[in-house]
Amino acid sequence: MAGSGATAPQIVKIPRVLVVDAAVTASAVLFPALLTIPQDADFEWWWWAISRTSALLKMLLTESGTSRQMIFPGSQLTAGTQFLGVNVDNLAGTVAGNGSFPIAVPYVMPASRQYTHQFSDTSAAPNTVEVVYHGFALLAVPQS
Amino acid sequence: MSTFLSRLLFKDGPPPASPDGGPPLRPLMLPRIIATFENIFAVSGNTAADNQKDVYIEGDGSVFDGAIQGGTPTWIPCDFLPLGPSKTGRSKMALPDNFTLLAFFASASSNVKGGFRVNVYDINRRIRLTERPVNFNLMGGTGNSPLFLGGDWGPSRMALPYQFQPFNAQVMITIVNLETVNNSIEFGLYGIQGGHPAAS
Repeated sequence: MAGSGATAPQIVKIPRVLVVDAAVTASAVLFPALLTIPQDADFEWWWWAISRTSALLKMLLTESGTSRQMIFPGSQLTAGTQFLGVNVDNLAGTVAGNGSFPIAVPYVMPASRQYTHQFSDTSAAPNTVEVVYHGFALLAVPQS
Repeated sequence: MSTFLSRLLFKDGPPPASPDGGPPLRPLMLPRIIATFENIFAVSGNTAADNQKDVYIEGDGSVFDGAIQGGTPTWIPCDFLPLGPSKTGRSKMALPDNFTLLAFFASASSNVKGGFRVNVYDINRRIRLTERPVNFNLMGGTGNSPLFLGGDWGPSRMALPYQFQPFNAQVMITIVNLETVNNSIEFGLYGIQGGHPAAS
């Protein structure tokens, strides 16, 4: 920018909450639900909260743009089984219950990028789940 | 000397004029103080007590800011579906490259007699991360009540993540089922993949 006369935009953090809702069918395996980051700004992820009908629910999370997995299998799978992720109650808590899960090292999710959630139910009943991302929109504001 | 607080409390006169001869200096106003709060969720999400899960500092950032920046949040679970009554299970967990441990997580379907105990061992460095098997709730907490690594919580707010060997890192976990029934157990590691040490 030096010598061009232009100035870099200032980044302003605006509180923002992103929500993923899914009505997972009974005994579903890898039931998909998509989160798309709004186009207007990158999103800085600070907290995670999940509500669900039954705790017998596992989840996988993948960043679509990079195919980057966020949940890895920790042990070798026996033949004929597939990795279904983490129990949702181990991933995050509810804000009302006891405070949501802090990501601890906030993660920036680029604008317009998609994140794939895959739910697997073992409750044998419909499971309504809501995944909530708390954080900040990183709005670029031109400097006057 | 007249300060903002003394003017507010004792009304000891108007703010002094600018040395440049311009208008009086603006006093420090409440909105400007509020504008310095970086994370409003620190209040709503953190607990009133100063627990280990309170990793964000109001008006500042994360307690890990001094140790690591960037990277991707990563969960690595290990399931025993189920572990038999009073049985011991072991599993060698392969970790993704450049993994830094921030916390554990754990759950058990039965928790009448304490659920289970767990021992964590860094295979590459031959270091035990637990001196002896620890009750799972004291080790990992849960999703809504996680326990983060860090010895000196409180006013000093020190927290130190643990970096495993960059490549081919493995941990051995040993799980002891304390229940006399089948127990569906999940134990795992939460941390950051990638990232880099913060500049000192």
